[in-house]
Amino acid sequence: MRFFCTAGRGTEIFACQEVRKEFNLCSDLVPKSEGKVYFQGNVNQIERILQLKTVERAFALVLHVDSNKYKDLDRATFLNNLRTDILNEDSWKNEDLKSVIEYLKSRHGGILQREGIPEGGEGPPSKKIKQERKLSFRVSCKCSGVLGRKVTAQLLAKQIGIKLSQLMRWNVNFKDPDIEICIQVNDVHVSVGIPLTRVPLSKRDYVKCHGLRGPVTWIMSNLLEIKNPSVILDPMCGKATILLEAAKQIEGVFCIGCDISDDQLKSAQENIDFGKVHDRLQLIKGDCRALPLTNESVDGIVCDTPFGKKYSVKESSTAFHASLLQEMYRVLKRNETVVLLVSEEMHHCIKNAGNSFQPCVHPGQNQIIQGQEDCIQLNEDIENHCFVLGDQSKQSLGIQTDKANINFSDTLVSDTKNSCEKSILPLPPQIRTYPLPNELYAHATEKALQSDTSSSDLKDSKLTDKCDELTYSLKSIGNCEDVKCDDLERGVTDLSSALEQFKHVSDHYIKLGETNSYIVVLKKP
Amino acid sequence: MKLITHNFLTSNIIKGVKNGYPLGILPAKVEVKDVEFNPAFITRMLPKVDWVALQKAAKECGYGEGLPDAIKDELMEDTDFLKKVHNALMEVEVIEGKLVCPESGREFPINNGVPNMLLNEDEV
Repeated sequence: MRFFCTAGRGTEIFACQEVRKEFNLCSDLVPKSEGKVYFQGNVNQIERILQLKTVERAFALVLHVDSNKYKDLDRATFLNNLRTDILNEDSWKNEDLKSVIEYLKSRHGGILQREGIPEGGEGPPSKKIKQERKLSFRVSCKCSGVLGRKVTAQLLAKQIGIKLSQLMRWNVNFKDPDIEICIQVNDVHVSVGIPLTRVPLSKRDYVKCHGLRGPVTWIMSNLLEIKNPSVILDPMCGKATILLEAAKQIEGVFCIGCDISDDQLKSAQENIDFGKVHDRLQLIKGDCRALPLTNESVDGIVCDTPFGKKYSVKESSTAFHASLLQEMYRVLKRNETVVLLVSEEMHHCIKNAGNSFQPCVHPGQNQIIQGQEDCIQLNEDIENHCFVLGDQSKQSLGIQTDKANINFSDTLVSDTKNSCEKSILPLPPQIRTYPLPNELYAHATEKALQSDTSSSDLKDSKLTDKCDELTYSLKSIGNCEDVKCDDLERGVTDLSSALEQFKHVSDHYIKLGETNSYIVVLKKP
Repeated sequence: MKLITHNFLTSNIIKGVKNGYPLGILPAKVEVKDVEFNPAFITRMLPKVDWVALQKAAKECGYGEGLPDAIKDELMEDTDFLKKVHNALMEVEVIEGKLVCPESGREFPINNGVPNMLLNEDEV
């Protein structure tokens, strides 16, 4: 019986690892595609499948067809073939599938009873009736891409629903069916699956006030690699969802959550009470830039840093992150880990300031192009979503620079400019394309990197001229924040020096909704 | 606020305060909440905990009985001792009260079990 699990973009690699570990499968038996992980299993393993921590939802796979089969067909033929394939009797009358469906039906019936209306003597007899009743189902359809546009999702769902109910003698129930049939049509494949749960597995049932999704919190907690009883801190815990996951899933942790907001702490307390982890999770009200903790007192830090979108901070993003990182460094024990969830812009700053990251030089050229590093990053991202630095960095960089295309890096330089501007200056849109922030940033990073091959553009006098220009422009616009040039530069240098104290261990790209973000693992040497 | 949490707190964030440890406790409301006893957890957490601070804190809350001044190695095997430590560290909770900086005397309120360690502008 084939199963598949959906996983958020970027988390597929972790989902794969977890599935392989849980069901003892070697890597070729767990193929993955974008957002999905497939594996072979049997109905007895369903309970364990439901315990997976890194996945969004789990499905029993009924049908999986490569979209190429339908690619060149005209609409009518395509729809016909599609319907025939989906309604293939063999798939539906397959014994394994039948047992999975029976299992789901019994679970559904069971739940109804537990939560059901306690009607005196109606208990046992109604149970018997329930077991003998017909299976109820509903069909839902999701279409996307070129192929998807040829299909009217609702119509297809209806047609399949009618035919399937005739074929299998099932009842249609839209509100509360025993099973749901999910059809997905896109340019890669056509798949039909039956979700194993109504509510996604990623929505943890022990969390009352939801924050970050379960898989992300689990991945972050796991990256801490806690082995012994440890004290874990989250200096901006919010609703404490990350710590809650750590407290629930990891043995021997004691978590301290710190937040500045009463409202967030209230939700966090509700989560602690609901999750029954008051013996492992405690809260304090404090400012993450001035943590009331002794030096080198915690064994691990985990934090979802502000992206500047939902919860804003008063000072500039770089200055804030600099103080935050500084405090984290102070309270963390030596040789221990920090796991952060950062925005794309902040990830950029981290990448370019880390001291274990060797600046690369393209063979034949003596200058360091700011975008070059992104080049490598992009290449590696494409190959695998995971980026590991360290001793191998020099070697792998060497290999990548050969592959790197100079034209490629030019576009990246401008991309870098844009993302830097976003992170450093809280500016109104008109000024976004001003080139200065990138040079300031590059200048500061260059100082930090202490390399002797410097881009000829970065000369001090030119910088001060542009700085004055910027201050003038800022003042004339008037409605932007009173951020001085010096403060900006200081913010960036502070951030670089705070980051440099850490060793950059690894990087993982993940997509949160529509936002690109990174899980960064740092270590205090 | 459990005493284990108190054990990590300091007021060294205040300008001019060098150590700020340990913070004194002025309890107004103290509760004892049942926590499952895990001897392995206690034995492994003890080295991370400042014993003198814990003992002082327990006394200030009225639960300092039976906690010796210093830990001898043999005591780590003694289940009764570990249970007493467990009680002080994990079960005693200050729900309402104040934490006091030993150097400046500045008081930090504890409300609903959560200590408020936020400083005013002039103290940073």
